[in-house]
Amino acid sequence: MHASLPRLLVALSSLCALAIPVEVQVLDAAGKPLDEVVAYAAPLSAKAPKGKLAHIIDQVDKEFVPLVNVVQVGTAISFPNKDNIRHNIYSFSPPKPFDLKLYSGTPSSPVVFDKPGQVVLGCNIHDWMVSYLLIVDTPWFDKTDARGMARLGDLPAGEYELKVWHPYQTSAAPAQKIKLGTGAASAFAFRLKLTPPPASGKQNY
Amino acid sequence: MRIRSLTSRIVVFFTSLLALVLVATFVLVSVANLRISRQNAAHELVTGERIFRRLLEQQGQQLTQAVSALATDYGFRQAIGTGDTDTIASALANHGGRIKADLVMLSRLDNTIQADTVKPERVGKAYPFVDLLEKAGERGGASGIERIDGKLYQLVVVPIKAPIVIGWVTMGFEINDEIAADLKALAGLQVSFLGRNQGGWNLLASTLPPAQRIALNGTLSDRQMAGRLALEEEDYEIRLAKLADTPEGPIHALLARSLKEAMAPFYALQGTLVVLALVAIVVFLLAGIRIASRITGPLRDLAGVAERIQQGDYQQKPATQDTREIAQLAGSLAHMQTAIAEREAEITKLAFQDPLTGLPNRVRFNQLLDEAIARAREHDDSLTVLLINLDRFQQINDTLGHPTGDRVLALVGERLREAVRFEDQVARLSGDEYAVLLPGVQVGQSLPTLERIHRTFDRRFELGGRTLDVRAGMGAAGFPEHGQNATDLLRCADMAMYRAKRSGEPQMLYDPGMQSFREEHLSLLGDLQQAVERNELTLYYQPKVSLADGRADEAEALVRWIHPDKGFIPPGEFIPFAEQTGYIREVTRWVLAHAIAQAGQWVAADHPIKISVNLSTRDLLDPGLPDQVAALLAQHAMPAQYLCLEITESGLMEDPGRALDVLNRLRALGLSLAIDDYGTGYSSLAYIRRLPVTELKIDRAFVIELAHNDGDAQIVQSTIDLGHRLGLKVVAEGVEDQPTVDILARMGCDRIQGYVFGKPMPADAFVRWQQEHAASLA
Repeated sequence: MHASLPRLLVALSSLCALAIPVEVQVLDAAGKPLDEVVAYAAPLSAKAPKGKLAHIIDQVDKEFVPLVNVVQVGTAISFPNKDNIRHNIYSFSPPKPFDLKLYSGTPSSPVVFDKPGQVVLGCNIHDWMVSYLLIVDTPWFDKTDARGMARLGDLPAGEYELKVWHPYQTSAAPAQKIKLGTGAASAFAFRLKLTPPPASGKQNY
Repeated sequence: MRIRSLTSRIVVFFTSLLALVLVATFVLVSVANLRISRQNAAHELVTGERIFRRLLEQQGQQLTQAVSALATDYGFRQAIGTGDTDTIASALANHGGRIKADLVMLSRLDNTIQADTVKPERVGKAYPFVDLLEKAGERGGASGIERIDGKLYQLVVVPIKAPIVIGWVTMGFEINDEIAADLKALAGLQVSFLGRNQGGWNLLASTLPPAQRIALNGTLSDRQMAGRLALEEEDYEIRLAKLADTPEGPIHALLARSLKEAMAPFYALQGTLVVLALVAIVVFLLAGIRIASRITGPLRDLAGVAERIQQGDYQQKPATQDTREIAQLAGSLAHMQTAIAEREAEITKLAFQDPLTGLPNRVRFNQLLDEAIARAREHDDSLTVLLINLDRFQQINDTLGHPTGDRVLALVGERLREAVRFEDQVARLSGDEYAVLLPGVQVGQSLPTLERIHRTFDRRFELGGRTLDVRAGMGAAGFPEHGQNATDLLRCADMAMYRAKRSGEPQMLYDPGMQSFREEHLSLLGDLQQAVERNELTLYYQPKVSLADGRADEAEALVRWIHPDKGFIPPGEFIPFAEQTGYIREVTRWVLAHAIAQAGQWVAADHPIKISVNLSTRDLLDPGLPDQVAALLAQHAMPAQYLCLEITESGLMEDPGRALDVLNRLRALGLSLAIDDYGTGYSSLAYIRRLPVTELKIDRAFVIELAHNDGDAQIVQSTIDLGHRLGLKVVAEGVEDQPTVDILARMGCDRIQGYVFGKPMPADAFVRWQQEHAASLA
């Protein structure tokens, strides 16, 4: 059901213009595919339409799931607690500092992230629990799969800035300016170097 | 200083030996201990450094954990994560204060300082401790020693996670003397933190006393890594450990082990050793003295015994000894004591006894006399001393030899012993001199004893078939009349004896008058010389009457001395002195000159008298005598036939060769030679036959008893017979009565000299006597 609206929009745009499906592959320096890398395309020529503005970050077995998240500005994220213990969720990240007091189950109201930027989420009673959230001002984004492939959906022709992001990236990969149109390429590749942080072991506190 | 006592030597020797061993032990133990202690100190330092580093590390870990805990505090993180600069600074100060951090810094991920509680002006500058930060990044927290603004800190760096690392908090804990003291308490070492920079070393914190810190500052240049260090007279074994390199220079820890403390057990051991050694020496000394005393005690006892032996006590019994060697010594000492006693008795005997006669000697007699005088004085008693001197003993010795002389001396001793009482003492004083001590006898009452002694000499001495007539002169002196001591008494007795011999008496008692005479005697020789020069001597003539025709045409010239002061001096008084001194030659020459002159006158007056003159032994040895006689004869125109020279047998014996030569030359002058005193000298007629003599004069000793003694008669008879057979005239002298004249006439004696015809008389008296005699014949 949530996929129906973009498709409708794509259908609408394809009615008025050509809709092009964009694919991004992210590999590491050795050419191995990297998964869980965020890829998104920010329109340069037109204002981005609103996409789906809801997201869920679970807390399962004292971990945030998923680790890497990407949402459009204005998305309300709910944090259902699937564990039988309480969790706290906080963020000191400038786009959205917040603090959900210890709770169990699903908080009554989700948290709305209304500014773009990176947010790191933590649980102040389980130090190892972390989740990274990238808030982008575009509806065209995806995370790479195991083959390193991300599908951004069908984008109307126009100029875009194509970016990839991963919280472990050593440095940001240069953004690619693309122009989508008839006959233009719609598949792009990025190389990214990731340095995972030292394993801060999950403990059974 | 030499130690003379055996006890001391034993004790000193063994105690010194012990002391030497103890000192050697002490030195060895001390050297070993010293080395071990030093090594221990050095080893302690190595261990100490390990402990010290571990302590620092632990402290770092503890602080890291504490800071980590603090850094995860949610409120803290919230303040850091979301707060403004002021909020952050106050949060840092607040949380730093919780764990008493002296310094808190916050740095961003881009290594710039975001907040600083000590120096806010550092904000925005580069974070200086990147190494620490890197380590903390790897391990989630790190600690290290760093220097900030000249102060020493233990810094702890931990990340601030929200939940990923959003920054680093650095907390500094100043390392000051207090911390050093804590470390010292744990590591057991003096701890000093030293920083080094371009300016050199400086002391940042220390447990050393202030004075030693100053001293340490002074010696900090070019410190070696380990070794000895003296600070204010305290010795340390030190070790320098580098703790960190900081932007402000390296940091070192100087760990020091006080040798005084390290050596304390060693010194305690040394003290114990010294005390033990002293105790051992004292015990050893006491034991040594005791043992040495047990050795030397008996030796001292024996030394005492030996000392008493030295003092003449030979009756000791050395105590029985339990030690074999000492017992042997004691035994030897006892034997020695006996041997010394025996030997001393022998020596005493030799010293006090005359070996020839077995009588006491002069020394012993003097002792006896002293004792007797003391007793007599004590009991108010008297005693008498007799001195007995044999007549002509020298001649006996000379003619018959010393063995015979010794035999005579022994026999005389026996006779004297027999002649006196048991309590009387007989001694032989020297050569032919004897002494008799008559205790309890007054000198006036000694005559019976003297008579008894005198009679023992009446018996002739039988010696190897030969009979000897030995006579003696005796003198007696008495205590207390004549002298108060032995010397005086003996001198008095000697004078009496001398007077007796000179006067021809058998014995004489001392008379104080003799003393002055004796003293004058010494000047007699000088007087005699004057007498010869001043013609104080006179010649007397005694007729020698022929038995064949009764004529008195021969006489013996005898010298007489009329002293201008003392009057008549008998020849016996001065002739022996003249003989002893050699002055007899002058006397003889005087006599010869005057006798020859007188005879020459008588020849000239046509009634010649043949004169006899006595020659002494010395005259016979004078080779010039014959020439002198010849000169005198010629001078007075006297035919030699009217001169006869009388010699004694003993006079020939001294040097028979020379005497015979002189005699031969005298005889060659044509004068007569007579043997005087024949019969007393023991020369045989066979010997006399070889002499150029013409006449024998039988000694008066044989003549006096002639009428009453058959033995003497036989001797006289055989002498006359043998004399005639040898062609000699025989003259008897000392004839005093007619019966003897008759006997001698019967025996065929040629001439007689004696009182029976006439005494010696001056020349003119002799001439008158001769004329009367001639008339009586007619």
